[in-house]
Amino acid sequence: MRAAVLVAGIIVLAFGVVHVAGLRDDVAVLSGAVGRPGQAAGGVLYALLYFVTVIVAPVLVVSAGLHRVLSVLWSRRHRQTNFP
Amino acid sequence: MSQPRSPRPPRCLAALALTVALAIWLPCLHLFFARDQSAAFRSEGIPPAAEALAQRQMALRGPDAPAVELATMHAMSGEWDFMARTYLAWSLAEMALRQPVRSAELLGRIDALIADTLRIERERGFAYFLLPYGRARPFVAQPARSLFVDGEIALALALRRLVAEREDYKPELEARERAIVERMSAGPVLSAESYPDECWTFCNAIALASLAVADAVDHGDHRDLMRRWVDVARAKLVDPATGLLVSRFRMNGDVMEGPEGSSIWMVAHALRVVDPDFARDQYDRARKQLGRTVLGFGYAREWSPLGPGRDDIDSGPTIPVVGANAGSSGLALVAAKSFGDRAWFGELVTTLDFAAFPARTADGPEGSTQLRYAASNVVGDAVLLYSMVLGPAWDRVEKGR
Repeated sequence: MRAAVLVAGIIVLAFGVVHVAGLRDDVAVLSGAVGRPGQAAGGVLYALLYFVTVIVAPVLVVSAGLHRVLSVLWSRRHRQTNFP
Repeated sequence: MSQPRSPRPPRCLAALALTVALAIWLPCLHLFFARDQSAAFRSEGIPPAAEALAQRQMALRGPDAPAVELATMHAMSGEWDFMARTYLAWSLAEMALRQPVRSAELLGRIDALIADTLRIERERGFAYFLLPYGRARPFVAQPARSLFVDGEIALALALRRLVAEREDYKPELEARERAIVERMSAGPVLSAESYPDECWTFCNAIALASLAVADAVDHGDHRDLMRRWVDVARAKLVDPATGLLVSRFRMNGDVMEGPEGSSIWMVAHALRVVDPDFARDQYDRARKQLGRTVLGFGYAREWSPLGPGRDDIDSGPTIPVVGANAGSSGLALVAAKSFGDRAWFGELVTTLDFAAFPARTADGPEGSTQLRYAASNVVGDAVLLYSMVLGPAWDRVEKGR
């Protein structure tokens, strides 16, 4: 599940990049207001990365932590079963 | 001799961890965006978010403001330009009632908005504030007028005078009242056109509300027209499947579009000062059919499952599957606030702060905060501001009866 944490990190990093790049203003496309060319793509990308960051990334991190705990518990149980 | 390594944990552990993580995170997510909304339900003081929204709206119309944003909005929709003005004027009146110590400043802002709007109407005609199809063919009732423009300007004038009298607005308001009463009374379903042979329940309800506020200011009495309109509406303008008022119809009452969220919420709010019981009934029905809360996030659908339709420029986009609609959800805030639905209002604001991308800057006077919602636009923000401050004006009208 290290991969899950890595993916979460990449998501957060990507969101940070588009945020610093100022694409937050472009989400005005969601209200039907399109100004300059490229705004629609920028707005959709920003919104997508934002929702993935606040919904998916935390789930990946929490599930990685849970998986680690469950794996340790499973391993102990397995050892107790096979090496009494 | 080394100990044998434990075998890898089964894959079902990963699936179990993911399921539990989802079950933990999703129900908790709204807690990061939920805020106490009790300030919005008090009749005094201005909630911080409303103040910040108002600062941004006023800055956009200040002498040094670049005109690009407002000009772009007008190019997209004359209606948006007009309603950004009227919702802001109504909001400023509510703010002046909430905070009388600031009334001089706020009334000055309202007067500037009214003066500019009346000037444009005089110079370019009311059709400047309509969508292009408003010029496509002649209005049935002549000379042409739009109840959309008359009703919302009348409400701005009446609310301004409800806060503090301004004598020179009295003839302007009386002229609008006469136009509204004449046009509505002459229609077969006691409704007037907003567009050629196209009546909107939204506009007729606001026009009636403007008469109610005007009555409170001038001790007039338009209750007969209000009673008759509600009777006709109950008989001819209520959709049989949903029990909700339809959105638009021909002058003769033929329905063009059934109930929609982006209309019914404001209609219910406006009708509160016309017929409170009918308004409450409409709100309760709309709440049941269009209002939703999922995982602590409130939203509104544009169409009832009992009467589907299609999105247009008023409604804005709809999120597939859940059916959350931007226009309907924004105006649902107005109705939830108006009818004291504290829980749902809070859930709707939670969604707003989660999904509408609030953007705060310290660009206001003396470093004060300005707020806008990046996923919204100027008219959307004006509606949100109105939802946060409305209350004292309708209370005054109701108490004056």
